[in-house]
Amino acid sequence: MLGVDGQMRWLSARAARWGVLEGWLKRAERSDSLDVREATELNEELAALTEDAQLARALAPRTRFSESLDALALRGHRLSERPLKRRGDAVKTFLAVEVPDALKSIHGALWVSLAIFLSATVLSFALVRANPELAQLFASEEMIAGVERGELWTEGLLNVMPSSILAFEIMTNNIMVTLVAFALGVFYGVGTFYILATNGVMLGTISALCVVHGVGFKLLEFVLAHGVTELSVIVLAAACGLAVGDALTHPGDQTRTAAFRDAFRRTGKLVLMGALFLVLSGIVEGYISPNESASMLLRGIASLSLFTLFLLVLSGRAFPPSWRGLSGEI
Amino acid sequence: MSERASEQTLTVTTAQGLTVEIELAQLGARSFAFVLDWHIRVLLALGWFLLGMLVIGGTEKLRDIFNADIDWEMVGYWVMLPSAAIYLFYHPLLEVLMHGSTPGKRMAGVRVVGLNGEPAGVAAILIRNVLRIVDSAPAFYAIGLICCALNRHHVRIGDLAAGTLLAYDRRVDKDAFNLTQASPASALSLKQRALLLELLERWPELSDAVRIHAAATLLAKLGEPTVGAGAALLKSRLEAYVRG
Repeated sequence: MLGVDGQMRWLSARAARWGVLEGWLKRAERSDSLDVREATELNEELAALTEDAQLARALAPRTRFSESLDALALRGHRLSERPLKRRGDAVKTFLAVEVPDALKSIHGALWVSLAIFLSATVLSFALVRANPELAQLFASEEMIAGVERGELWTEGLLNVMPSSILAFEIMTNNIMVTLVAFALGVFYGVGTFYILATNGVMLGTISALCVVHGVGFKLLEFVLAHGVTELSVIVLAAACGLAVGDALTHPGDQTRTAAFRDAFRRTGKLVLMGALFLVLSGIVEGYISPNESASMLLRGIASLSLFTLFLLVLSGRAFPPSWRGLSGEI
Repeated sequence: MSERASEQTLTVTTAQGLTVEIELAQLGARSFAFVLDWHIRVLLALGWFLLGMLVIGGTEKLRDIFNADIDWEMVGYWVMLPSAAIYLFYHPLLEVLMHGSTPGKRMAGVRVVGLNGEPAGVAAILIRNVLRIVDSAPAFYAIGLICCALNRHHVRIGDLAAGTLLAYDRRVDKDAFNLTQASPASALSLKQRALLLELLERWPELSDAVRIHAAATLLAKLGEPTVGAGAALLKSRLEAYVRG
């Protein structure tokens, strides 16, 4: 067995290899795949590096030297153990398999979310229709005064700011509501419930107020193009939040933390897709909805097209069946 | 690759038998990194805002920002939008681009890693950033701080959901591979360090006279005066060298 001096000499002789290996790892990390020769070479180098790292740790624990060797060895091991993926295939698998699977997994939560939203909307609509003064609880005085004059708060929006800025503001606001509805699922789903119910109540209140003051059709005209998809995304995000809450309350065989993590990762994919559709519906809301020259037919077509695309994408039917067979791994 | 996290460390064992301990960052390092990042992003956003307003219309335009007759198209596109984007996307974007790090985290010497010690992936980074909504509530990251204080891995809710940890960054330091150089951290060469470790390991077996002689010789080589020092004092000085 080598003494300390011998071991140091051995490490000194090996030092040049580590620099070479570091450069080689950098190149390998950037490329998607390694051929057989490269993979074999990497494994051989890593086996030697692992021994060097262990020796360095024994000779000089917790030094920059041993920690750098550990870091280099760990980097190499990660590279050799990572499943090699083609980036394009991973995206296809995400769209055609992971998102539709996530949607199926929250089937129950989706219905619950829809039921909460619709119940809150219908109930508040009925209450405000019967007692219009209740609208003060959920709508600003300015908005109520405008509706009482027969005007929607949306009228003249285009005169105040350009469509692009309006669309951006709207989509930012909607994405925030969606993210909040999803994120508040961490409070065992209760936070999501409140956000969903509040949004339902606001929709019901404003709709009833508009109907009472004879501007119901105007409101329908405004929301038709973007509203269906926008509200669907909010219901979807809330369903994801409820699924997270459900994972926390009923973790099953997993630990609560593991169940929470799984639920968040799975449903987060749906929220991401939902956010992309909020960008599209924000564009429609900024450009088409406040535009008085847009006919009801155009608004209806925009609404139907957007919602159909939303359903096709989420169910994975928008993508070729061949994408479903890809694992993403080589 | 298997992993096991204790309160202070994450132990990663690779399939090829390499076991590495990664030290987990605690509340202090986490808060320090956040405070640094917060200042950087506020300064960047504010810097862009002021610069944009000055470029567009000078100081007059800067005063007009509070008036209704503002050119929304121009200001919105070129000033407010990028400023808001800098502030909002600073963390997620930089964490993705810098493999779990940000300028503040780099200065604090920490990095976001997955439960297996790898730099966190894009999905995990997005999740931990979405949950800032919860962690930052109601103000000053109160929920996140409480969660970190109560959690044995010192992570906030976003990290729990994303399966991430904040660990001290261990980078490959090429200079450290130069074995002829002394280690700046401890001013000891690796050979001296190995001798020192050996002496401390054998310390219980040695007589006081041998201890004092060996320790004094070694410390003298390191430029440390040791006249009249007892064995216990010498040992503590040797241990201080080991700790760096």
